[in-house]
Amino acid sequence: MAVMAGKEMGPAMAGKKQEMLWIISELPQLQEQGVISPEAGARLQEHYQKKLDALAEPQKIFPLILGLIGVLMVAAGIVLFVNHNWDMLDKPWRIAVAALPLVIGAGISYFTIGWNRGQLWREASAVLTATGAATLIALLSQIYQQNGAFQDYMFLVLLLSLPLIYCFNSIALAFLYAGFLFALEESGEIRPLLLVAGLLPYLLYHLIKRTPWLVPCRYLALPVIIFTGAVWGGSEGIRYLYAFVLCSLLIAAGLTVAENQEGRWRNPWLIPAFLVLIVLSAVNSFFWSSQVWIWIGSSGIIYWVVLAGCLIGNLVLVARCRQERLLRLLPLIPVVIMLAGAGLWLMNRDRCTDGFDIFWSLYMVVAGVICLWRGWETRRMLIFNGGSGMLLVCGVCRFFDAEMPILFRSAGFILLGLGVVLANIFFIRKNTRGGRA
Amino acid sequence: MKQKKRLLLLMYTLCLGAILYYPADVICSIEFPAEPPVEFRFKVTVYDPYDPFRGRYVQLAVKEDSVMMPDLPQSHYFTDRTAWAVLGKDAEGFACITRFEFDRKKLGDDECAIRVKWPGGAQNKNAVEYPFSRYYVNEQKAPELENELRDGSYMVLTVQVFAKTRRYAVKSLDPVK
Repeated sequence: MAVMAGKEMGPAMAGKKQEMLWIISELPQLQEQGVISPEAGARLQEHYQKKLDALAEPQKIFPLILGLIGVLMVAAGIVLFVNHNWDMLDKPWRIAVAALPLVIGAGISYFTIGWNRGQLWREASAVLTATGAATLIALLSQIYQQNGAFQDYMFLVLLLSLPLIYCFNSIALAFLYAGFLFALEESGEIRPLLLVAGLLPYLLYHLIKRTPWLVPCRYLALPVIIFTGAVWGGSEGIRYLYAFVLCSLLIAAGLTVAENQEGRWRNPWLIPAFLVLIVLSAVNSFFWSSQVWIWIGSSGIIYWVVLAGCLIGNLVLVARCRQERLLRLLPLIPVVIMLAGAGLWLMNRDRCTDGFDIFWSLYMVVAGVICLWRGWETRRMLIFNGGSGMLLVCGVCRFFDAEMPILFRSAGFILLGLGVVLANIFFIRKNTRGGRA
Repeated sequence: MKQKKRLLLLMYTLCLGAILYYPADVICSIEFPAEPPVEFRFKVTVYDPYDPFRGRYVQLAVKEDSVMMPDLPQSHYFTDRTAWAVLGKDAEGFACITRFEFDRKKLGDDECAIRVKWPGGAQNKNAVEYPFSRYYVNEQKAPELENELRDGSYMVLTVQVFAKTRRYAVKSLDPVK
């Protein structure tokens, strides 16, 4: 409904600006050579010019941001001024002043809806109404000297802001919402669950329907996923599981985006998730403890429910892809191993399996080699370098804890370094010969 | 198009209604209470922190040994456990906690209770965290209040508690008469 309003802006085109400019510049030549008729040329010119006009110009964005900062500073100054003179006002006046931002927000919102204003007005309406509500609630608790907990306050404000995100299809408010979710990191399990569940339809709608908010929503998904992991990764062991499941989810989705030939800035999932996967594996190869089986085995039901949800989403993503399933399944290998270990512990609680540290080194080697192979085969530099990185980190980690003579270590380092450099040279040559860099 | 606009207007009005419900509820329950509030006095110490946006306010700490409390069963010595503290008055007229209730439904209709946090541990069972931890004052008054209490004395915080709605409102912070 209101979310659909975003569709009026057409498909995501910010990254295609250069292509549209190029097409427009080619039109006169195409007309001269008789490839297209002058009428068709004029229609194409008009069509692409309209699309270009609809895009936000960078030179318009910076004044907008500066203007926003200026307005915020003026508002903060007014708040401080009122704060200083608060004692002079009677209680009804204080309440009136507290309600003023909300009244302004409501006025702008009714104007925006009534006069059918553009997206910028919608964003402003949503943010102003939400901040107005936050100000009113905060100042009321000051006027009536009701302190309460910050987490209760944030929960209330976020809950009230949620419908505004949908009402105005507001990506700015959605980002603020996702950022402030972290204020509720330690406020139990149910409240964060409600708030995240409330934002999920918005996120999924834009991601699945590929609306103009597709790329911003990819970025928006990151804090939501990190927050989910931080809240429901409550128990130490299950936190490892979450991290791997979420990494796997992001790698699977990020690979799909990369396969669609979208630019790197439009894909905030693949590289960060892969880096986290490398770091997690490296850390585990140093500090793994059999205690993790016990932590996982004794985690509460709610953790398992959320984990199962993530895992099912992950498997659906993998099942829908026709290529590179192996790469998508790689981060799930530790999940399967950890679940199996926890299951074994549950069956025989007296015994904890030690000596699992070696798994992480083996895993890094296998994953690294598979990435190198798939990168080489598909001529994808990113995957190839990911594999090199995984092997390199594994080698460096083992340098610190392997009890080998220094000569062997130095030889190992030289070989590893040379291997990475040579592999890159071969890879670039192969791609150049194949006509693809 | 017109229908969509109407729907959006309706949606926004509903959102606004939901936003206004909470402040309206707070104002009505305190300004026009269904039953008169009961006032409780707490002995508090204060200190004066500074916040660039909140300005000056005094941080309140109810004197730990000033509130009489019942013993709790060992099973309730949990970390960060919240409980309803049913309030009464001691011989001097100051607030005391007559009992703790972990289930709100078990509170009597005429019982005045506030929600407190329980830091846990049998050793510091008196260290209950009360919900009133700040008192906003004029920026000149806050340091003066703190200076007045340098000799280790205390101030009296008067809190109005509404039995039916389980709300409270801090009424005043006064020096000991």
